[in-house]
Amino acid sequence: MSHPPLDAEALAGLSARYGLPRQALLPLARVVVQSDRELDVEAGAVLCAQNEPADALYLLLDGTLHVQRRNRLNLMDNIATAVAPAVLGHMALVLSKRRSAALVGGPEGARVLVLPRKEVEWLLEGHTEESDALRRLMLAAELDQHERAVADVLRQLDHSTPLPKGWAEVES
Amino acid sequence: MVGEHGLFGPAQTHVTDVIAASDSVLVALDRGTCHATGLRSNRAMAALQRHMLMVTARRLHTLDGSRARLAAASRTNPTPDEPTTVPDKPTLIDWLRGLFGGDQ
Repeated sequence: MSHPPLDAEALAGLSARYGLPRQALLPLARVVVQSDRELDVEAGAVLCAQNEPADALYLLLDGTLHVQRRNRLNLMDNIATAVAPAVLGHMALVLSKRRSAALVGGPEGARVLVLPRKEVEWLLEGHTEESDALRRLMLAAELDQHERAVADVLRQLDHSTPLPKGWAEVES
Repeated sequence: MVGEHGLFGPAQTHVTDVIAASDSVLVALDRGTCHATGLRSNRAMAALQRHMLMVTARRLHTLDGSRARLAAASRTNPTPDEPTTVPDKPTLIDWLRGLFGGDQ
């Protein structure tokens, strides 16, 4: 018997990652149970490409994903490395824009849960505990990313700005 | 909207002061209300969350543009012989101070 991809342990890990109460995301387990939504991304494989339409939200359950963006020389730059557990791909979905960056499997690959856009939109519009849990998760991920972006800008302006506790330098 | 980082995000403390720049009218939502289990199926709370998602995503989008411009500028820094230009309009750090308030 296979395990559901989003069990209580995985949800607790996501909650801890984004500073949410341990039980906050448990309702999501009721709506995300189909194992065929789970993807194994090999090292170097492209999960989604820059500029393509956003068709899914990604929950990184194991491993790492590189966030890459094309520079002015048309070469892909590593702008961040996401370490599991993490939520990715939410910005383009919320803003209804194309992907601003590509997601590529890290050195040891990644295990990713894929939530299709239609299901995410349906949940975001809902008034249920499951909808509330997904909105809280996406909001916490956005605010976390926002804080990192501000810290990154400040560090580019002044390299003596310390990294917040627990944050790693971005490999370029 | 201000103060959402400490309530809905991973930040555990307030890192900036929020000071009224003019006479202001605010609606304050306390932590208990924001996380009340009884409001998990509430339409107003859902609308507030969707609003915060959109506002934060737009801010992130703007910040991403700033990061990209900074990164590009750092790759084309003037050589030491070139005169340093004095900006005649608000710099990025001024913009960030305006957006988040204070030196932090």
